[in-house]
Amino acid sequence: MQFNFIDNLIAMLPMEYILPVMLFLPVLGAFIAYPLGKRGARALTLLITAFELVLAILLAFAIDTSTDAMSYSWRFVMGTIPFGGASANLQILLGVDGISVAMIFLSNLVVFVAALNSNHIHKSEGLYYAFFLLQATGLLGVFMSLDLISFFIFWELVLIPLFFIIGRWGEEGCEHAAVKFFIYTHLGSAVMLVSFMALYFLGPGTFEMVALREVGLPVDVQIGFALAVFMGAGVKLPVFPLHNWLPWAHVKAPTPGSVILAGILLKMGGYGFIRLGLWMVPEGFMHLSIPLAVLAVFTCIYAAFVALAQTDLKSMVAYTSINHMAWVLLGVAIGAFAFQAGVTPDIRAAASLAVQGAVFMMVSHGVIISVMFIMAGQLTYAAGSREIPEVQGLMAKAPRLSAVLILASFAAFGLPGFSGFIAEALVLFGSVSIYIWSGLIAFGIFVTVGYLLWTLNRIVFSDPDPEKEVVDAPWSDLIAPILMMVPVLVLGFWPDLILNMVTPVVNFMLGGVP
Amino acid sequence: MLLGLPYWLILVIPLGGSLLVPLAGRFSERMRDWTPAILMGITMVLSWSLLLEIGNPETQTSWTWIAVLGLNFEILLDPLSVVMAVLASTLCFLIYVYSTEYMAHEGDRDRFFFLMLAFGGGMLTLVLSNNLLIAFIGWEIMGFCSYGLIGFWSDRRNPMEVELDPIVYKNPLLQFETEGQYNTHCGTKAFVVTRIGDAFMLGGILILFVFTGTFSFTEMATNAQGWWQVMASIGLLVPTFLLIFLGAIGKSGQAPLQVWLPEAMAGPTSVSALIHAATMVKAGVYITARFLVTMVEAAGSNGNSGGHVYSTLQAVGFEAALSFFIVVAVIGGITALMTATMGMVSNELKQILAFSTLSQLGYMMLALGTGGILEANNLHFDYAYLSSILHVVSHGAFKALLFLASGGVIHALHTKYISKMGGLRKHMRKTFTIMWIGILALAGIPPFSGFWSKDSIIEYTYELAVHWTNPLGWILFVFAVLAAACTIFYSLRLMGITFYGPPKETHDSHDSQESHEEESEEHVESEEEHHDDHHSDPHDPGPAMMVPLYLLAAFTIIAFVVFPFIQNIVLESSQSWAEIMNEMIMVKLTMPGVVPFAITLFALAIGGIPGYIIYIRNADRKNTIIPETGFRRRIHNFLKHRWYINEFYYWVLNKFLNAAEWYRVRVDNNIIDGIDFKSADSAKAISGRARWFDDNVVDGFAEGISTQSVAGSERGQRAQTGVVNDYVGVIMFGIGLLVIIALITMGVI
Repeated sequence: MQFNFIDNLIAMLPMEYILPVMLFLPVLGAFIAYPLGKRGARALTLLITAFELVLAILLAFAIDTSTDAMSYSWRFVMGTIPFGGASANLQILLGVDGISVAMIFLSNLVVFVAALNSNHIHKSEGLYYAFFLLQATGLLGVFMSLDLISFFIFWELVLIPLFFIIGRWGEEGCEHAAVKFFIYTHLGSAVMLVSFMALYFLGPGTFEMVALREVGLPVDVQIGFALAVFMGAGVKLPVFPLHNWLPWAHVKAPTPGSVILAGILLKMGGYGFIRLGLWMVPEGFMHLSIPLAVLAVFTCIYAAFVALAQTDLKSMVAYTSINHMAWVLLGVAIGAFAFQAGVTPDIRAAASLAVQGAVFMMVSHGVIISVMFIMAGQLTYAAGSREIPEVQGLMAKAPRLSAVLILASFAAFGLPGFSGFIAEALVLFGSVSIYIWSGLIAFGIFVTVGYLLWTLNRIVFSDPDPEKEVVDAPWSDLIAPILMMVPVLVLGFWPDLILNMVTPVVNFMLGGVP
Repeated sequence: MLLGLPYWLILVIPLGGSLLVPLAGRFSERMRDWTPAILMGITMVLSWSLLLEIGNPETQTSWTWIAVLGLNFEILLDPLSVVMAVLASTLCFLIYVYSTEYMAHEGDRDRFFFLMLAFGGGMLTLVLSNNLLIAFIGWEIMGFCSYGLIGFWSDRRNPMEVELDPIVYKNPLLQFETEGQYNTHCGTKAFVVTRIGDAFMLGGILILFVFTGTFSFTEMATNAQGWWQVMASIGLLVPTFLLIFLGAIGKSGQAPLQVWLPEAMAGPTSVSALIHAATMVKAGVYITARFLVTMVEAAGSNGNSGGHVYSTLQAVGFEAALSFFIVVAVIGGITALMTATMGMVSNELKQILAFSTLSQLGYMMLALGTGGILEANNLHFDYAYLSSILHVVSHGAFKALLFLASGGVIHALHTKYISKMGGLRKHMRKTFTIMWIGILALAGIPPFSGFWSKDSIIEYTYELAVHWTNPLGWILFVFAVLAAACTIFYSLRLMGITFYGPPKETHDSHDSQESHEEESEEHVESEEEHHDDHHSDPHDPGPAMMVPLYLLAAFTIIAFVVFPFIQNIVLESSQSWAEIMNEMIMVKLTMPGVVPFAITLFALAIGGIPGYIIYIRNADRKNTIIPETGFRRRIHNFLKHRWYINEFYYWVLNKFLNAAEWYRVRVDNNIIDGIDFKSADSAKAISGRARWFDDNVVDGFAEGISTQSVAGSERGQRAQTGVVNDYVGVIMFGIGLLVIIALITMGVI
């Protein structure tokens, strides 16, 4: 793409500092937002998140997609621990490639929309927005880090503000949900931390990912590390049977919290699988390819069925995200197959397609499910309840709300023309040509289509109950979801916007020629 | 073009302008109504200016459309295109002007004028495009606009007007509760029937493209890759053109797809005049004429691309397409006669004109087919082709005239059946006179325009009959002559019943109730004065409706003065006006032309004299020409039922729908739906189980760990009793235990 004025702008800016600026701006904002309180905090948060979004778009233009090398590296050594003959650097090391940029763009978009959608938060706003900005830093840090220690720091930094957001601003029963969320994810992280340490001692004695990747770790170490990554990222993704925190947390969290959780927190899991797994320990994942693929297919269908039985719309959407994130795991598992000895270029191309599909699924699911959660949250204000049996005739009473909900549902089950379709098609094309049985995952789509349409039938296209009062959503509440539908549609027709960044990196990663 | 403007403006002004119509409606109703007329007026001027540039365009005519496919958008400036463009834009302009008054009291005119103007753009796109694909797009734009305009009054709630002597249809597909339903049905029918032809046509276009490698008519005409010979040698030439001709059959209402046009009269009269008489139905004729010209040129230039693999086959000439043109001529001949007979008994004013349109379109096709056959027999095709074009022009004018005039009648009387009219010549003198001019032209009475064109068609069929060894030529000639006899009969019948005889009061009793209501409303709203007295006496319409009529009538009368110019344009000859004029007249009076002329005059007498006696001279008496029973009644019924062709289609359709319904009830509902519902139920059951499993087993396990550890720690809590004695006791016990362990390790015990 050629946009001269953007290229000129990028040439004028000190791009080498873009990553630390993006990373630390929200922290700075968090400290200012807390004392500002109320409107000031909200305005500041919107300003910062919008600015971050602009920076992310600039970054997407600036990134050089023709190599797999990390761009815009930035290093900050926090301290060194003398250890034996060497010394361990505790450092923050940043750098991005195409996949990271896609994720950074997504997280900024989701955070911005979540901030827009926070207009129903009326309790200790200063603190809320401070936490909000803090976790934005954590999210960006995860996608930028190239060092295991900084990766872990940011990984955990997301957790704490979200714990408070869920626990304090959530609905009834949110304390339990917050604790459950924390214990699950923290347990996973703890396993991962142990494995990071183990890797330091078993490997070449460094925490830097690029070095660890290039050194070529022994296969058994790789498998062990892969299992630990599975624990850490698998909880976040989530994968059966580590998924039970998710419905709780998503349902009980305030709507912006749900948006952050589903829109971007889950993608940390997917990104972890790709960055720490496929990218860093490919051979370890290669050996896990079949079990992971089986698990992914099972999770998808299982989550679809569980979603069908839900009566709370938000809970149904939560299970829908489990169901969709299983596609990411499938894409990763298929991608790992490419590292087997003697694969043909055709197989490698198929594997590459699946991994691209996984990344695209993360982006597409991030935008679609955000809209779904916002609409589910909106339902509480419009109809007084999110329980599907208690809401009827939305189309007649609340046409605006219904229109967005219908579009978002269509996007969620992957109607062609929406971005979800492209993602599912990419993963499916790749996976079926490698494991023919993985096509079973399409059954998950089938069930998804079924329950989403059934839900629409019950709540949108049914006859309105005259005794229940239903009000349409005000435009102010619909700005965020409508804004979010734009990338859904644009990516549905022009997937190359994301794929152009992702494809070369994935091809390099899988050892092929782009 | 004029002032050096780009040619594409001719298409873009109406097509783009149509989008402005609703916008203009936001500001002013009057401005909106006149927008199409003004824009089409500009287009008309531009189209006329093209006459000077036939064959030698002054500016760029070709623009890249899809570069990858090598597709260009080209304007074609040959005689056929330009004559059609001039005709179409002029008639569009006149009828848009007419519509401003005719439609003035209808609702939803945004839609009406939008569709009308878009239609004009579609027609000009078709005739001016040098790219078959773009021409097809124009063709489809017209189809869509026609659909929307036939069903324009789709929301009329009043029951359908009933004829005095109605045909009762048993077919459930032909039962309509309201007029709106009927109108919608008619629009849909027109669209569906023409689409049948269009689908085949698209197939033919694509096959043709495979062999020619181009959509451009001019490139096809150069026969660059010897496609003519290649297609002829593998036997695809005639089938391909027949496929394309099927599109023309549908659009121009030729047998057997003629059934849609009589129903298409459900639309407003200006629509019938413009689309279903003067322009759109000529599209089929145009495309056939276009291919006739192209084929003649392509066959003439023997594929001189040099060293083509099929060079041995280059002996194939135009005669390869002989059977195609035989089909064209036969279909044209059959249509001309069959629909004319249907028109002899119809009772609906506009429907009679529709049948007559079909019949005249049959003549045009017949002329084109005759031209093709003549060419294939190494005789000249161009005069037969010219007569077809002349008939397109003259018919466009006089049929538009007839429709617009009858629109005034319907407007004034609020009925569409001639059986409820009568004696109008006293009230509507101007309309009456104008209608006579149109009727005489239609019947082919000299010197009106219809005579020159139709008679020359008959003449060339005679020439064919004489020179062609195949006796089919004679059959075509007889068809053409008989159709002429029928034409004059129904023309006179139309005039006689409508304008002569005693005035009938039936139309008043029919909708008096409704009209009274309308009237009172109008008084309240105090609308224009014109409507207030529509109830008292039928009267001539106002100037916006009459001026186009005068112009068309003037052309109809002086057409013979204009035809020599058209002949010079179409045949690209440079004879003087007087020469051609002389030739035109003398050919009728000398051998061999006098023979068909005499036969035609005889046929006109056969049809005209009974028509005059029954319907005009005896107009005041009760008509008993058709007895209640007997042979004549049976013939009458057969014609009245339109040869049962229409009903046969509905019968087949109804059977098919019944079969589909049977399938739905028996198979689909029971078996397939049964499977669907069972699987949905089982999915729900499975999901219920899965949810239970997820909530209790998977989540229960995790929750269980936490509750068990909490419970365990609570049990441990009980040890903290707070009673000092307990603690001391435990301490004592512990110390004792330690002492014993120590003793054991020391080996004391």
